[in-house]
Amino acid sequence: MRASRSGRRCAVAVAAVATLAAAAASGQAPRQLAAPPPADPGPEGLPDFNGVWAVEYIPNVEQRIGGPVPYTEVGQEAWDNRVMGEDPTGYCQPSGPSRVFHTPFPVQIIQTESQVSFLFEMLHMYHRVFTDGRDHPNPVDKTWWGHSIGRYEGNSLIVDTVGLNDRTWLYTSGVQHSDQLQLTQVFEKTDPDTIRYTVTYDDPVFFTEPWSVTSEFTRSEYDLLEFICTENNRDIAHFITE
Amino acid sequence: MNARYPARVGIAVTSLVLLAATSASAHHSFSGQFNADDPVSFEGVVTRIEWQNPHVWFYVDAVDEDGNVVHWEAETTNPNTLLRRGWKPDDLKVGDRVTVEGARAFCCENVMNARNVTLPDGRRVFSRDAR
Repeated sequence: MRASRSGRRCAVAVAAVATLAAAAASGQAPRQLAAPPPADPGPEGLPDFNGVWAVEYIPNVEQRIGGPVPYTEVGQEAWDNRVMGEDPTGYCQPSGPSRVFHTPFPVQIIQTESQVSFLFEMLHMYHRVFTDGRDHPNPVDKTWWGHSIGRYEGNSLIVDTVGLNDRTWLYTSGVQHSDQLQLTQVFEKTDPDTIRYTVTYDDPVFFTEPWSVTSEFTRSEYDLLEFICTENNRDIAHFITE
Repeated sequence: MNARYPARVGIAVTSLVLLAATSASAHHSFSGQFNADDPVSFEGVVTRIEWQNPHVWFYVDAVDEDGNVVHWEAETTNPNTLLRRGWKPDDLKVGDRVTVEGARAFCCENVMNARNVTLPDGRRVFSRDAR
């Protein structure tokens, strides 16, 4: 009797897996492009970041900064022993609030007086930056996206992020970090169609000194597209992790 | 098939990282899956296309030198990126005869990353540059 029940459960499980597989196989990525929606004007008196922006793809930051990242002994050991088959986004895990600005995929910024929201095509993710004057929580949880607060100076939005876990890579090349990482991101509106973006990484466990990368956002010709990473992530079966 | 994967590859050399950067559309590191030092090319007929995220996969039946049919599984770029480069899903069709060049996966004999996919008239489908 027990064996019979067990067998039935197994059959149900197999059927469920088969159904899931069929559903996954029928999913399709977007097949057509559209223009971005018109950008609403941002809050009065503040630099206006509203719109859909194309960002610069920087997979290999060492090439971009013209040399190695300033690693501590701990950071260097992590770099030397990195396993390329363990890239978190390869498993559809979140990119975190830094790497997402250095991918091939556009970003929409929605700006109100109290909050700046980022909608990312990359893995269909979002992030919120509070500009209402609040401080970080204390203690702060260690999460994939951390806790971000922002303030305006001239034509710039300056974002401070803490409370990050240590599970993301900062770049596709395999730059890792500890949960002591603090990000400073400066978004400077240099003209109506350009944002100069500078991110500074401060992590006393992994880096001997803060280091920065600057890139440029330009108005995107196309709207965001759906990007469901688990739709058909066949790569998982192929990664080399030893 | 893991014998194909030498231990030294655990630490990627710069060239592999660079290739990763340009081939994988940010979803994963190239060298975590494919061996840039193991190039492969074959000619065959497309049997299936999966226009899905995070990467487009297509399948090709090729005949090897012994006359056996080999079922190849080929990964190419992210579909959203292909659209923005000017490619459409039906630019590659089931039944198309193609020549495929790229790098073999570490894991499996007949899995590869397709760098070039060329139709009989010489057009390179899903190439980096829009048509």
